[in-house]
Amino acid sequence: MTAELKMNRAPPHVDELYQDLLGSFEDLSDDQKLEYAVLMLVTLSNQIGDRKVVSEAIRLCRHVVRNGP
Amino acid sequence: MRFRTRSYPFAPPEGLRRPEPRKHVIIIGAGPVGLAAALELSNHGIECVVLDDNNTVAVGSRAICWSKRSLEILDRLGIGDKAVAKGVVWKVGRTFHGDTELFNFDLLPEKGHKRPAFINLQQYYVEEFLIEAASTRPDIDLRFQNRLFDAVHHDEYVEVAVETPDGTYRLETEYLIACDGAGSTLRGLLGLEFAGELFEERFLIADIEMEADFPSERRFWFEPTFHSGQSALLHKQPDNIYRIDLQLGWDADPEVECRKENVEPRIRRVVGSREFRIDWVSVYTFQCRRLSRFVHGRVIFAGDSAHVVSPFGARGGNSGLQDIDNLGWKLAAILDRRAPPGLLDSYDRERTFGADRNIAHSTRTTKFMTPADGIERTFRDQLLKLARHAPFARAWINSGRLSTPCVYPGIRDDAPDLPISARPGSVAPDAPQRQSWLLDQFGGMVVIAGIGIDPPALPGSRPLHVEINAFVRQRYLGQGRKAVYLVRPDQVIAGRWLRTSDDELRSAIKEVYEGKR
Repeated sequence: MTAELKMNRAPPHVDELYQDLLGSFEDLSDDQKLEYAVLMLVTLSNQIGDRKVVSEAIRLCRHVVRNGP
Repeated sequence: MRFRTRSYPFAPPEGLRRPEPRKHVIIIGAGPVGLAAALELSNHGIECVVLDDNNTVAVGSRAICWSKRSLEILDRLGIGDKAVAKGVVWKVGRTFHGDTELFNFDLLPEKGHKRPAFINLQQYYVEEFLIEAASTRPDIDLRFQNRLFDAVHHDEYVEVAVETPDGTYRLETEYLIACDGAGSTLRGLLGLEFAGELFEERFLIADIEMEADFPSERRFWFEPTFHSGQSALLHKQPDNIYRIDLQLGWDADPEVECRKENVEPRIRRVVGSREFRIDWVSVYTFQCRRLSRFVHGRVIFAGDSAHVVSPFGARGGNSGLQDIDNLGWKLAAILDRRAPPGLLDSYDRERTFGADRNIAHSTRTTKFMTPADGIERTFRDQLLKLARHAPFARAWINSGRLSTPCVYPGIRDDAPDLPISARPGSVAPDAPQRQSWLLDQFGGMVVIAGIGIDPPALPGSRPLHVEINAFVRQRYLGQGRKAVYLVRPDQVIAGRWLRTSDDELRSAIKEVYEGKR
């Protein structure tokens, strides 16, 4: 599977995933939220295990942050 | 032509002069859910009385988006064609961030269905059509300006006290159905309370009359330039009426926001230089809550009296009709002594499940649209940004997941090789047949549908030969060549087999009337 294909895939139950992600930040201080986000990035990247996919995600997210809407 | 609200006459009921015989069913509320209940019971040959404290249909458009499933139910109630003819048919929704369209969706991309994904039709039209249909049924006794003010539950019946312009009277009934809306009098009389979440965010809802060329689409904006920092929703209705919902914030004053001098500039920013006339305005907050049980002895709750959700997703009026679809045949079977009273437990189980699904969807939408400050807002805002650049993120944008019927769990006898679209617990998918539509041939009673198989004629059911075509093959057979489907009176699939026996089907039909499938 190419990086592009994976990036375009919409998993089922996105609303439930969204709530899970929101909920996982509960009860964390602001400092802990950043630590937690980094840990999640590393853990999910390890789970994905495909450098092309992770590189594509990095490229996309940096582009959005730098260029905005 | 603009809608003209008519007044329905008060006719002094017999109960003001002498005690009336005990009724089978009394329905409280002549809104869409109560009227649908009366017509559905009438379809099953059950007489009922409908009591309503008012003598007109709803003021303001209120529920406007009627789903494909609701139209299929309205077909069985006799007003489907009328509703579709009058309504604005739509299936495309567009979602914007600022002025940029993020994405659009097609709710019914495939052909071969009698009814469209949605129509927009003001609640007052639906009520008027239902009243017209009910007025032709001799077994429906519609009583306007009859206000319920007391109810006493006895073992064998429920006694209600009713106030009219000519005085008060009492009535007895075997079953009482509460369809009296979110502010249900009956819920209060029984001391029952909703549980769930209340949201503080206020929304302005406005119907405006305007000549415009907006297409028949749902349009939703996050942070539009014409309504800074908030959200907005636009729907086209018949008679050149447009529904505009504008998020106001939690601290908006409803009385102030409803003033013409405050509403007009907000609308002007949405519609530009077009001439418009304000038809109806209201400010609302919303709740995602329900009763813990919908059946309390001989009192049954349906629609907004049982559960309430936010309007984003069109899950209010549509879920009310689905309640009645589920309840009608069950109550009729109990009153006809074809089923035990325990069948009502399955109404409670299935419709509380449906309500929970609706509440979950509605709550998630609400949190996305009105995120709390902090991480909720960060997530929401970043997703909106991401969706501009990455198609995958668009599926995460939640401006309302539109109403579709739930799949009831726990119905066994599935043939897993058959398509998932017609799995047990789901509403039977429609498909064209030579002379009509498949769903027109389902419903009313249990149907044994043979597809490539001769269906047996068994007591308590009706056999149906289904014509095989590409749509039937795709929705009911998949790679298989033949199958038998057992379909409940509410068109829900109660079991399916690649091969079966008469004994197995007899047993399955019995279980339908026991509420086990």
